[in-house]
Amino acid sequence: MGIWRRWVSSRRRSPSPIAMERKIIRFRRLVEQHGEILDLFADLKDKQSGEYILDRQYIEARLDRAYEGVRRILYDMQVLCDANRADVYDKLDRLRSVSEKILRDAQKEPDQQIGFPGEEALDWETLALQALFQDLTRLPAYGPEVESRGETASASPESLTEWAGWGHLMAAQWIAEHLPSVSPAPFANLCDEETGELRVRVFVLGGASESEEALRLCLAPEPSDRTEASSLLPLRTFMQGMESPTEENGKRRLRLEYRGKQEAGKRVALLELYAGADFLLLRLPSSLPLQLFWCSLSLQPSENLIYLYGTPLPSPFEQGVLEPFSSEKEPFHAYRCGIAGRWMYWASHFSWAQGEERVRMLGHFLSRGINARGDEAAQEDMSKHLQEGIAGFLKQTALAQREA
Amino acid sequence: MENPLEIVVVDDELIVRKRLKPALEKNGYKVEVYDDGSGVLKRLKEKSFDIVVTDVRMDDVDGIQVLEEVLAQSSRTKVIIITGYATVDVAREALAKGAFDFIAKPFKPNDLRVIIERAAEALLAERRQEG
Repeated sequence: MGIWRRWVSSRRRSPSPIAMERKIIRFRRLVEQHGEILDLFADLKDKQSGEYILDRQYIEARLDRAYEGVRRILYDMQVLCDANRADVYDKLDRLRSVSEKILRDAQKEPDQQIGFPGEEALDWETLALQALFQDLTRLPAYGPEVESRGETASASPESLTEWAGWGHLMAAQWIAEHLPSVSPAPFANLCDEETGELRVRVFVLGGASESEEALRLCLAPEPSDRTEASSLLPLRTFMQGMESPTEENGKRRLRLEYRGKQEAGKRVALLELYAGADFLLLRLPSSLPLQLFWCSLSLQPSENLIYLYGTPLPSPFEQGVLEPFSSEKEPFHAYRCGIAGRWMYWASHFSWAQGEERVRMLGHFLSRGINARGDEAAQEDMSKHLQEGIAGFLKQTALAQREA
Repeated sequence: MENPLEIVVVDDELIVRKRLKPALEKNGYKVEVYDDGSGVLKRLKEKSFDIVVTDVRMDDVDGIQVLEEVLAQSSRTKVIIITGYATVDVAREALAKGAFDFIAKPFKPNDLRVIIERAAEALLAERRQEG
């Protein structure tokens, strides 16, 4: 039974106060451990700068600490999910064996040990991306409906590394573990446009439905739709939808789940992909606690995460966690939640809005998100950019309607 | 000091030797490097050095043995111990046995330079007292 299914089934039962207390303790430990791991990697990054003289013993000791930390996180995750999967520990042990082998191999070639011993071999990001890229290139191509209207970036491992802003060993390890089995090729839908200093990157994961396409166009309008460069950009935005049904012509649209089946591991891996995003737009049927859980696992989460709920929030408990964020004037219910020093935003009843209204709503929401960061200049800039985007979208829609 | 300081560095990690030699030579010191304790002990029988910088954990002859041998041959030589990560207790033992100072990895070359400068001042002071 997968973690997701276990979690759902466990949720239906009334948890005892002791079990709930235990989960709260484990969640706190998880967040603490997460912080410690981040500190550890910050220290490693500092030591890797080339200024320091260090030895293998130091690296081994830090690796031991990292693996121990991850092992504890895995344990906490299992408690939180009522899961009992020994295989995750096996995977961790395999990763550990790989890193130990890399260190051993580096010792055999001492002439290459200038700087950080085994520096090249320890470049997990590149290794993971290469594995990911190889896997993606084997997947079938998708129809023109999911192609970017902008300059679709060529998804080389290097460009993805740069684009995703990965800088974390564990992130890449997770991705190496999980993403190769995620289907189909999400990078076909990478939209990367650059005009002078202006750069907009939008990555649509999931069902590229008409409304999402509209959102994407709004966020990344054609270069011709822009008038001025924005100092706010690059704006990295990820959108993820799911449950995209098979088209009449048999073509499948992009989506990340297999027939709605979700695996926590893949979710974690995907969240790692979001690292460095300014906004993360998810349209998921999953519950808030699980989303919180995923976000807490994300090692370099977005500063502002925005969840778009198609339905009302599922339970009073979840509403209690969230703080109402929208005003009465706004045509939707918005909530926010502070976790690990970041704000996440939820919009419920999102599905009622269609087409242009939905685009306007998102633009408004993004502006609010930026404003919440306290950056007034950025908000103004973003609002302007969004207005231009929305205007471009409306213009295109009107043209399309006339042509029709 | 009229003549440049003569320093020997002993460490079985190539990266340490490769980094330290040029870093110290840049300060005008004469530097020899060795990858094991037995090699440097052989060399010390032929020539005395002002400062010995030695790693504490090595396969054949460890840093403590190097320290003892050096001080047995010449009490004026300053021995600086490089300790590995989490081996500070060993460094304390080395200090008790007469090491001038110790430095723990990871460290910046400049941190070692500061210790060497202090050792050089101590050497100079001793020479003045003698002479």
